[in-house]
Amino acid sequence: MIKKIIILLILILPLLMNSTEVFLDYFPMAIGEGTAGNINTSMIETPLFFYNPAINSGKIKSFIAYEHKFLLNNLTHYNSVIITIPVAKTFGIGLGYINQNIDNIPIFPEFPNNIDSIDFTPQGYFSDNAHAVYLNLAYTFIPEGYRLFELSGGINIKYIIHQIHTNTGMGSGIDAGMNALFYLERINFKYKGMLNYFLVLKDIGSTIIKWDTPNEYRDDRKYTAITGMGYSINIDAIMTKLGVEINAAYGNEKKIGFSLNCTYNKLVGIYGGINYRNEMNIYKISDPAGGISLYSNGFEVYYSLSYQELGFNHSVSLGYSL
Amino acid sequence: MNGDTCKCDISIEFNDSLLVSNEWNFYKYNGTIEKFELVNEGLNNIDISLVSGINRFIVAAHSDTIPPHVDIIIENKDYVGNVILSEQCELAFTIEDESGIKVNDIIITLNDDTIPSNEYTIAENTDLRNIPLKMTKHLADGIYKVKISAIDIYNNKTEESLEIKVAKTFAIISAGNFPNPATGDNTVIACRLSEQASEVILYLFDARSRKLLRESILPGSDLIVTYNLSTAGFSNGTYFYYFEALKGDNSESVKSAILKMSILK
Repeated sequence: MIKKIIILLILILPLLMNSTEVFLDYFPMAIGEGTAGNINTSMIETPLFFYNPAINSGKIKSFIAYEHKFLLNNLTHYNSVIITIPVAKTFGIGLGYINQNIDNIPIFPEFPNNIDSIDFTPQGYFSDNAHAVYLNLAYTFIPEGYRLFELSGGINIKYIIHQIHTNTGMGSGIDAGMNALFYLERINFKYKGMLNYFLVLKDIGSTIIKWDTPNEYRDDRKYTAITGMGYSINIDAIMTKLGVEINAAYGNEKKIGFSLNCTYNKLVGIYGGINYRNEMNIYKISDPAGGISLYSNGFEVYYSLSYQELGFNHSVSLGYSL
Repeated sequence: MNGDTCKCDISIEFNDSLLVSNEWNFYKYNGTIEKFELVNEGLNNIDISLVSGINRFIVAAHSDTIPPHVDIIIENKDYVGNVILSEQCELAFTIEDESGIKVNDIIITLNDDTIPSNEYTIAENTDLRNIPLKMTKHLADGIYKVKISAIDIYNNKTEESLEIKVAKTFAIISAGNFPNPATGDNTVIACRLSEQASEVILYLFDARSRKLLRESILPGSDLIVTYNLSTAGFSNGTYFYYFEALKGDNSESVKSAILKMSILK
């Protein structure tokens, strides 16, 4: 009985606290915004290890990209940068950076004893700046001989600095992920395309942020487990690559996600995504998003738009494969 | 002179070079304030207007560099927190200067449109060292910038402006949380209504736009509505919130702007 209660508490614990360092829950890079964060598989070429640390392996080119988001009708801004380098055919490393700025936060004094003397004129303004730096290591196991599958694994080590007004919080955390890629056609001629299965564990053992406030407050960012499948296929007749992904997340984030990606002739692409997310203990459709991409001479340009209850998110990113 | 006024150009030359100075100006006597007021800075290209009768001019220098002091006052009784809760806006201005003010050079603008002088009144027998102005305007709901500029008799200029909001209809005039950042165990989220509401709803979101709270408040006859938020269970970070106020049988609703609140425990 006690064992059951302990297991139940472990499962319920993430439900009791509001998420901490929520800027880590935004979707880095424009294609991430446009697919509502549902790009954990290798169905896209871009090695966005923010989502699944395993997918930055088995690449043959280095990649660099920058993104800027105008969030919630310009209420706040967000930046992300990614650099990936294939050290060997089966091993890749990457560096990432994400940042959210919230400016013009008004300063108000203590609530007055006499309610009629309340003054809504701010006494000044301050900012909230959150930063995270990622180091990614990823490895792919490729069986010898006739290849039916590939198995990749990777980890992200992330360091967080969060400044609000005159105080700073700092902490670090670890994400890990795996991706299994199956070449269906090689397994059975009746089938086409590639099937991915993935599992990602974020903030393993909690990511702890320590604040330099007078009471040295500590925030715990609880784990999230995400698992799902992706399928992609090249339709040569129309020079198009199609990909879909479905996943489920549990823990700090609780949702079911879906995305669709379509690229024509390696020149232009469209993509979209949506989540079915828990909010105030009610599951509802959220983060409807979409975007467009252009590819030319190693350059990639993305624009994405998503809807949130507080406004629209606009995201633009530019990438280059070396 | 054929009429009441005429214009002429004059030039002044000093025979003694010791008298030549950049500080000499040309002044005309103003009988109303019994002072000479600046007509032309320097003594070159002087262009003056003469009126019938005696015109008195002097060449002199002045040391007054202080511009007039200007105040803009909203005289509406229902003026709360920079918001006028009436379509009839009663504006008053006071302009003070020890040397005297050039009345004809007073300019009042409303959202950059100049108000004609016949739309505001100056009390009779006003001392030109202290000029009160009054103006009544009928304004639709919105935000307006009132600006006044005035110069004294030595051409020292001053400008003053005030932004006002007119909300004669049902509105949430202002909102905030006290204190912000919230460093203690709680923060009071408050808003001020233009008139009584049947229900006020507070919505609170995290910085990722995920809704964390929907709290219904029955304000009764209060125009200031408050909600005491415990910071327990909230992480350090910035949150967004807004109010929605419902009136009468909930047929009319208004929302406040989205506001930012930080928790720093």
